[in-house]
Formats: sequence, C-alpha cells, structure tokens
Amino acid sequence: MIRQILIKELRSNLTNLRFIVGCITCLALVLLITIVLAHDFKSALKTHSDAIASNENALSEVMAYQNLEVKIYKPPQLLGLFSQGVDKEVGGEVVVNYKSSPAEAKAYRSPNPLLAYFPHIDLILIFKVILTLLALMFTYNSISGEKESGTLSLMLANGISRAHVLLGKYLAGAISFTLPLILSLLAALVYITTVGGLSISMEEGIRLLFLTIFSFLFLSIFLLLGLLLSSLTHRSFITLLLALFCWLFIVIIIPNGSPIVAAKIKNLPPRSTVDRQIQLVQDKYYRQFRDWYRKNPWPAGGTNYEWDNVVWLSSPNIMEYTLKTWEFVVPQELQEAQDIWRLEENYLNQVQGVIGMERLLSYLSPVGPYEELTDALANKDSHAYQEFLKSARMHREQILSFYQDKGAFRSYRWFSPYTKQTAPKSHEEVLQRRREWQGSGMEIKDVRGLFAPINPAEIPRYFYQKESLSHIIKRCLGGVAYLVVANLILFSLAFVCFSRYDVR
Amino acid sequence: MLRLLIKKEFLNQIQSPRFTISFLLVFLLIVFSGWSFMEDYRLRRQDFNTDVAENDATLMKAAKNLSQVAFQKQNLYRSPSLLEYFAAGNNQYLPNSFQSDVFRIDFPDLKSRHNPLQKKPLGFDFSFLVTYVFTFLALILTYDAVCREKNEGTLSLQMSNPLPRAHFIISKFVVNFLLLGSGLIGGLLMNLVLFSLWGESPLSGGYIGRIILFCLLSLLLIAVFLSLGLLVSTLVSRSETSMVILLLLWTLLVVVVPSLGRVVADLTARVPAKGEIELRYRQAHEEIWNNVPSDIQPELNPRRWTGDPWAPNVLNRSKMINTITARQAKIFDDYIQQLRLQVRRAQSIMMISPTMLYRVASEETMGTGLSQFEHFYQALKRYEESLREFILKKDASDTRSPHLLNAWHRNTISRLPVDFNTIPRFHLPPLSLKARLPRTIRSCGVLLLLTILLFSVTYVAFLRYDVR
Repeated sequence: MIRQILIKELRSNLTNLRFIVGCITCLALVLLITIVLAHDFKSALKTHSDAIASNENALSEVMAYQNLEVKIYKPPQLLGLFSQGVDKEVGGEVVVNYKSSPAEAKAYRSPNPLLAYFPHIDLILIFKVILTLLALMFTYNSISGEKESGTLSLMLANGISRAHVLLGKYLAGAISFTLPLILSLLAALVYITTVGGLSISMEEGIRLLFLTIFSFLFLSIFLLLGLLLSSLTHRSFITLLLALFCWLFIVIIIPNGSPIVAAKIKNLPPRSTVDRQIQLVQDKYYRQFRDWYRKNPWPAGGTNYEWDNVVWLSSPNIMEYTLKTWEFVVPQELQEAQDIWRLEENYLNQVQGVIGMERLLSYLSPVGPYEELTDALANKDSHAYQEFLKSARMHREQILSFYQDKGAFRSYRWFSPYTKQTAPKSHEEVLQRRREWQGSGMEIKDVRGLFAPINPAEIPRYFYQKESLSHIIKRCLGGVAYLVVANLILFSLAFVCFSRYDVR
Repeated sequence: MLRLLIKKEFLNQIQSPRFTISFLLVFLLIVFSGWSFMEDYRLRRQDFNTDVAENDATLMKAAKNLSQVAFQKQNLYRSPSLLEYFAAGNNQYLPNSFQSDVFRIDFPDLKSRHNPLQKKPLGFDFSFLVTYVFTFLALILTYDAVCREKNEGTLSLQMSNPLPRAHFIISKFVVNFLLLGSGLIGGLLMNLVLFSLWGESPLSGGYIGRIILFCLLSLLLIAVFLSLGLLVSTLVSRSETSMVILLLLWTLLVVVVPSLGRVVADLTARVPAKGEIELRYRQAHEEIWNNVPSDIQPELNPRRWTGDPWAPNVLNRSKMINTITARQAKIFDDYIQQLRLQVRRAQSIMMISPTMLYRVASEETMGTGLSQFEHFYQALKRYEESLREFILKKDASDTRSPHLLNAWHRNTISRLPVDFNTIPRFHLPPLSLKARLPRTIRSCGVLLLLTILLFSVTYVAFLRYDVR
C-alpha cells in the first residue's frame, strides 16, 4: 500500500508547478554559480602554482642561511565551490622562517578588502535557501490539505494504516527534493569536468558523495518539519504560515544571530590588545640588542660590503664580529619568537572558545551542523585552517633542525656565502678581490653569480596534508548525529501527531 | 466604500494568526537587534577611545621634536557611529584604520574584536530586518490577497456589489502597508526610546532628517514587495502557486542577487595585489633614482648623502625624494580608487534587485558602509595635508633649519619641540547628507516608480481577472 501512496504522491509532486519552478530555479542558479566559481578556482590554481614556482626559485637562490624564508601554501580546494567556509577570509599563505612562529596565514591572492561588503556565495547557499523551501512546500499541506479537501478520511476509510500514509508521503517528498539536488550536483560536476576542464579525484568524489548524503539528511529535516506542522494543524493556510516562519528562523535568523550572541557570551579581546603585548615583547628584545651593540661596538678598521642581508666581502675582523653578533642575536630571536607565539597561542585559545560557543549556538538550527559538515568536507573550516598553521609550525621546527644539523648558527654561512675556509684571510685580500670585481665592471649586487647558493635539495620541503575523510567524520560525528537524530525525532513526532489527528 | 473595505480588510488581518505571529516576530527581532547593536557599539566605542588615546600618547612623545612629528606613524581610526544601527553597510568587516605619516598612507587595515576564524554573518541592523523580515512579511500578508478570496468565493460576492475594482486592490495595499509601516515605525521608535534609556540616542546628534529619510526608504521597499505580492496573487488562481512563485522571487531578490556581488566584482574588474603595489613603489623609486644625469657634479648629485643636512646636494636630493614620495602616493591613491570602484561597479549591477538599491541608499543616507570608507580615506588625505602644512609652517619659523622636508632624512627640518595642543589631530566628521541627498532621492524615486509600476500592472491584471 505504501507503494501506491508513494506513486500517487510522487505523481502529484512532480507534476506540480512548485516542483517545476523550484527545480528550474535551483538548476539555473547552481549552473550560474558553478560557472563563476569554477573560473575563480582555475585562477586560484594558477596563482597557487605561480606562487610555488616563485618560492622554489627563491629557495634556489638563498646565499646565506639567515635569509632562508620558505613560503608554504594551502592548495585551492575544488570542493570549495560547494562550500566556501572561512578559508577565503583567512588565507592560505604562511611565511616560515626562524624569526617567528606562524600564527596566521595571509590570503596569497590578497583580495580587495572592501569586498567584505558582499556576503560569500557557494552552491550550499542555494541548497540552504531554495531546496529547503521546496522541501517545506512538498509537505506543508500533505495532511491538513488532504483533510481540507476531504480525501484524508476517504483514504483512511480504506483500511490504510496511518504509518503507511505518513511514510508514503515522506518518501515521495524525499524523492521529489532529491531529484533537483542530484540534478544540480550532476550539472555542476558535468560543467566542472567538461567545460571547466578540471578533474575530480576519487577521494573528492567520495567527499562529494558524503556531501550529497548530508544534504539529503539536512533537507529531509525540512520535509519532516512540514509533515509535523501539517499533522499539528487543520488548515493548510496555517501550516504554511507556521512553516514559513520556522524557515525564516532556521535559515536566516538563527545562523546570522547566533554568532552575535556567541560574541556577547564569550567576549573576544580586540586584536590590538594582543598586538600591543607583542610590541612590548619586541621592545624588550630591541633594548637587549641595542645594549649589546653598545657594549660591543663595530670594530675599528676593515672593510665590509653588505647587500640584500648578505655579507659579500668583509675583512676577517668584521667577519668575526658579525659571527659573534649573530651568536648573541639568534638565540635571542628564537626566544622572542617563542614569547610572541605564547601570546598568539593565548589569543588563538580565546578564539577557539568563541568558536566553541558559536558552534553550540549554531546547533539551534540544523543549518549549523550542516555547514560544519560541508565546510569540513571541503577542507575549508576553521579546523582545516588551524591544522594548516600547525603544519607550518612543524615545518619551522624542521628548518630549525636543519640549521642545527648544518651548524648554521655558528657558521659564516649564516650571513655570507663564505665558510671559514673560503673567507678572505686578510684585509689586503679583501681589497684585492674588490679591485678584481671593480676591474671586471661588477657592482656589489652583481657578484651573486660568483658564489654557490645553499643547496636547495637539502632544504626541507613542505607537503600539504589534507585531513582524511575518516578523521573528518570522526571529528564531526556530533553534526552527523544531529542530522540523523533530528530526522528520527521529527518523524516520530509527526507520526505521534498524525496518529492522534482527527481526520474528520 | 473604500473606507468600509479598508476597515473590513484591517479587521480581517489583525484577527488573522499571521498578524499575531508577525507582530511577535518583529517585536522580538527588533529588541534583539537594538540590544545586540548597543552592546557591540559600546565595546567598539571603548576600543576606539583606547586606540585614539594610545595614538595621542605617541604623538605627544613625538612633540618634543618637530621632525619626529612628521615621521611619526600615526594609527588613525574610523569612529563607530550610532547611525550604523539603521544601516551598518557591513562596516564591521570593512577596513577601519590606516597608518600614516605626512609622507605616506599605508594599506588599510581592520582592527576589531571580530573572530577571524568565523564566517561573516549578516549584520543584525535595522536595514537587515527590513530587507529580510519586513519584505518576507509583506509577501506573507499579500500572497493570497486576491486568489484566496476567489477560492473562498468572497471575491465574486464583493464584486457583485457596485464596488470599483480599484477600491478592492487599493484597500488590500493600504491596510497591509499601514500594518507593516506602523510595525516598522513603532519598532524603530521603541528602539530609539531604548537607546535613550541606555544613554545613547541618535536623535541627540541631529540625525532626525536622516532617520526620516531612512524610514521613507524602508516604507518604499515594503511597498514594492506588497505590490509584488498583490501582482502575483492577481496573476495566479491558486494561493499555493502564488506563494511558491513569491518565495522564489524573494530568495532571488533578497538572498541570491546581493550575494552575487562579490562574484560579479571579481569578474568585472581586477584589483592589483598588495605585492604588486609594493613592486610599483620600487619601480617608481628606481626610475627616478636612475634618472639622475650621469655627468652631474658630485657635489650636486642627489644620490649622495653625507649626513650633512647643509651639503649643497641636499636641495636636489630633497626634490628627488619628494618626487618619489609623490609618485608613490599617486600609486597608492590609484590603488584605493581601484578597490573602491570594483565594489561600486558590482553594487551598481546588483541594484537590479530593489533590496540592493535600498541597502545602498540607506547606507548613503546614514553615511555608513562604502560611503563611510570613502569619506574616511578622503578625510585622512586632508588630514595628512593639514599636518604637512602645520609642519612646514613651524619649520619656517626655525632659523636653524635647512627647511627641506622629505621622507628620508629627519635632520633636514627643524628639531625644535612643538606644543602638542597645536598639532592638528585627526577627526572624522559625520558624512554630510547634503551631498548624498540627490542620490538618495533618486533611489526613493526608483523604488516609488517600481511600486507604481507593479501596482498599475496589478490593477490592470485585476481588471481582467475572472472573479467567478
């Protein structure tokens, strides 16, 4: 009997104007947004590969260890087309050097800061706004509407169980909204892989499958909400009103209001407070450096040719002085980086507190867990950002170990292209070399070609590691459970209400 | 007859559950928006005062030496405004500070308590409520205005009386407009009273004219959506179909089109990255630096610097440095214009949606959003100019100064102390409404025209409507 109800409902849904209009609107918007975002993604890919090439180029030209600065990048994520997350706001480029512990990433495409005027758009937004409305529209009059038209009592007079009626209507509604969902996703995929010229890996395909499942569970909540409200009221007009007000709250008011309330409960200090504390730390170390330079003045006599933070030619006494200076400065700078990181870490912990509160409040609406899941699948949530920074800090540790292994801090190589063996042994030798360079018409900046850079093959490389799918599911189990349990509760409530429903 | 119809419609609406639910919803949301704004405003005001005091303290330290005042990098902030309650224009996400000395303005920055790892929610200002809630209610109140009466059979009964069709449509429009309008004005007044009780009133700043204009704009937007609801209700025969069409139109006009702004901006214009601007700075520098004739006498060569501010080449050197600085300032100014224009263009395209038109007009009226950023930047440039003039004037009175103000050398101008109280300070005056009034009036005109157009089409459609 369920089958017959299902077929009847399905036929009624699919031939209805609301389905056709909703389906066409959803499809058209998804295609439009996919075209635009795929174009944006391709340009991001290009920027990313250019940035990596430029970084590799820079690494092959490092003449002194202290100038080693590695730029690491989080690659653009294809699933970002579906869910933008927070990624675009916070950026994906980190500069790793010995002087600072990475605490934030820059947007390597450095977008127009005034574009913050407009909200972000992604494909999930279309599902959140259009398909949720469509899901509500499929069921808001499924009980009360049938009662009004008198068909409900006729149907139940035929000995059909109420559970079957409810299940039949639910399944028909679910199939009806799944069609535009699948069609939209397929249209997006077809465009991305054909016209867009992008390829989708197996892993991304599986993530997309999960995204579809979560979208189904999310939309099903709205379908069941419509069923529940329809089982609670006796006039479809009232059901529609209640459903629309619920939709307004769930989709617009709560997701936009909860961060405001969270910010009130967990008050984040202004960023300038942390910046001031960092400034105090920097001032402290600056004073120490200044005092050291006062106590250890620049040696009298000798010649020093320095350019672009590299000592290209220097008398032995100045080389020794510079080495001594760095032997004092480097440990201080490492300590300074550590002290600043502690302040940043404290701030990040406070940010984490706010995020926790936002997450808690966002669960007032199913949009909260749904966004959490889609952002995580797209690798665009705040967790992915923090993990990226964590990996940047680990990479810095690798670079510091590399320095230790090479004895870089106590070597001329730290600040010059010379070793103790190759450095000029006397002031006269320095002058001689200088004359030779001048004789061949070389400026000090042209002498780079005479020296070998640090072997780029020895410099530790960074590889971005995406969070695995199983780990995401484990981490976001709360969100998955929320969607499943909300479906079960709403269906049970709808069943209870419909069981007690006066069909006359 | 019209009076009777209005009365009947009015009683119908206020007895309807949608009115009760709408009233409660609006009341709750207005109180929430007022409370959240006031809490946020107080914190931002407090942060702003702290930042300004800190900047003043550093400027005071610098006042012991005129050249230090010129070279002092000041942090200059956009002050929070009570008018942001009406239309914030996403001010909370737009840059609110610049660092600047008399030679150069640095890239804009946003300093706030905003969680950097958070998706940016839409602000809960009054224009948000008008755009998302009042327009939604306008559709809910009108989606079945005509077709439901037809389905229930009351339309043919009414039309069997000698009742002009225009009166029927006008009564529907007027009653719903009055209900929503009174909710809007009432809610706004309630929050103004609450603000006064909390010790902050936008009325005390002489902003009544702006608030009235804002109300007018909001009422016009509501009128557009009411007309749209009536039109669709007249064009279709079933209220359910009417609702589906209206909801889809609403999501397109209110949610989707404004969200496309960023994408459109990216597609229509390209803005250089900060790195590119810094590269242009270097190129400008090198071009001017390398332009010095190779046969110039060494004592006049501007590229030389001996440390002696009285050396004969320092005049040439100062001129060269000032040329570099001026060229770099021009590059920066062009960059800011490009940032601004990219958003302005996208805004103009997105104004195909009346909600975007309303949003932009409200921000222009209240002097917030992008208009405020533009105003902030202009005020900053004027301040830089006035500080420069002040330094030149003070420097002129020092007979021991070489009087060669430039961005590279501190000892080529006076190093005498200055009275801190005489140093010009940055102040961002409220954006004048006078200059923006024509644009606001034009937006009001467009919204009014749209209402008239939609209403006229509704009337024509209703004239041809089969009431049986």
